[in-house]
Amino acid sequence: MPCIAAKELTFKVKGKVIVKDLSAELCGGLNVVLGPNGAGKTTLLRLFAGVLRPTQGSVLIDGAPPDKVRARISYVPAQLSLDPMTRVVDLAEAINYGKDGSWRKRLREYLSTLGIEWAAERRFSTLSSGEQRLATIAAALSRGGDVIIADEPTEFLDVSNRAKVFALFRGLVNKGALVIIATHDVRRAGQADRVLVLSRGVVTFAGQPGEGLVEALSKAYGVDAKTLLEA
Amino acid sequence: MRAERLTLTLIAISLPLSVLLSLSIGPYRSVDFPVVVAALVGLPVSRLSLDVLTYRAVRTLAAGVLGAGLAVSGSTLQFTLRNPLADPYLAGVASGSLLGVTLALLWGRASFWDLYAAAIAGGLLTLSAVITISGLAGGGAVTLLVVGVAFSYVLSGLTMFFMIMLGPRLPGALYWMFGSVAFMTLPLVERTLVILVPAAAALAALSRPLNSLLLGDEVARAIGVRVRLVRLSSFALASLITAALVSMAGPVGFIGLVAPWLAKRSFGVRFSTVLWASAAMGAEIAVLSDVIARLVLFPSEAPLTAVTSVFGAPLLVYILIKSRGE
Repeated sequence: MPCIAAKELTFKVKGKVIVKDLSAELCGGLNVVLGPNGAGKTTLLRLFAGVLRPTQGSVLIDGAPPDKVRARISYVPAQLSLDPMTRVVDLAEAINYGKDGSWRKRLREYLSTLGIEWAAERRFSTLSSGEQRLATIAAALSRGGDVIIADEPTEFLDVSNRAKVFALFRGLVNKGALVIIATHDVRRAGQADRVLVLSRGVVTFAGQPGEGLVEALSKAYGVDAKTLLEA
Repeated sequence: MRAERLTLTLIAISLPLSVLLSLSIGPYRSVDFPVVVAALVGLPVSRLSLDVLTYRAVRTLAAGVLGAGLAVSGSTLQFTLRNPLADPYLAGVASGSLLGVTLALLWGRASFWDLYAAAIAGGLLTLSAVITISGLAGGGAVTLLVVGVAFSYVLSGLTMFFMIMLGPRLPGALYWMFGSVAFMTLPLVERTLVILVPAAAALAALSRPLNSLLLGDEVARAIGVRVRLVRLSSFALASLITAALVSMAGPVGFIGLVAPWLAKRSFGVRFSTVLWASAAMGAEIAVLSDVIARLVLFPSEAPLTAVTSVFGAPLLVYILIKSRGE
């Protein structure tokens, strides 16, 4: 089971601290990172995926830094600004840099699981926001890594597609993958094996969803979290 | 897939037709299509016809090389800068090369290699300046375009000053400055090919990392692309190609913008495919534009740039609107 270990992780940009002295260990399972805008969720995920380098501290995936195990990482970015002419298959090919051609088969499988098997040769500009999101997830997963890091994977998705995406991630977890998702979809926390709540770059809750989570969320978002979870 | 095959078929049919057309048209009206066919199938033709045909063949070849090279250079800039509006002409590379060549002429240098070195220096310096300044101005596709066009104006202005200082050598330089393939010789085209072919092959070898730049620098780096190295080498190669083409035929605009756009439309954003597809399309556009250049003021002729600009600039606006709308 893959493990990500963050040790005394700090990330600063232009003197501003985004992630502060963060230590956490996530081994396998479906992990959900919650927190208000600007809490540092995206930065933390990018540090995990090796897209950003820590200012201090370290990220280790099964004992190795992310750039030594990049073939194992599938990263779904929150947003991509693409040439409008980019096709889904073009994005997947770009994502699979340094990999053999087996990604094509995986891309078709994931597109089909997400219900958009017709989209492979389509241009992004011809897809709806939700379809673009699903296609980006399928393209990222086609890398075939067992460490899956997804930033806002359910943004723009309707209820049924959100369920599809979570079912897909759950299936990957059952096959032994480590999945880490950042989301604003607080209600999904109940389906996670582990929840991290971030507030101003610091972990204020880490563990299984439960009573402590409600309190941490209430504090982080500054509202009664029960209403968020039930809404 | 069907659209791709259709496009391939269209190119395969229309490119040879454009070449035939280019061979058949010119002020020597007696050398027309039947004569071209006769010469091609080996029937005897007059000495004059053969000379005229040779001239037109070199000119057609030069136009094809020019168009293909501009397309390759434009595709490269569009992928490395992640900008569908990038073009060697609009990004200022061609204007920089033009100023370089003019300064070299003023210096009394006129060999191809001297002019070529001056063109590379001018082109590379300008491209670096445009990229740096548009980065400082906040980046983005349109910023680069605006900075590039501003630079082009400044450099063209300077070029005009220095041109006047050329004195009696002005008329020859002026026609070249218009951008044209009217005065091509085979050695000139060959020397351009010596640079173009290896540079394009090197770019083809960089296809996969170049492709992955579409993910953005940070993600591309995370999956193992050596972003800086790939970008620097592809800039250098694109500038090298542009410089060779400017030394050969002067600045010719918009082919480097339009051909990659058409190629991406048909084949998606995949560098290895766009590279050769845009080269074929660029060659065809240039050959056809040169035919039009010979026809509009018949029996006199217009500069090639005049034709590509009249058709290309409206398309730039169209691409801008499309890329923003989407």
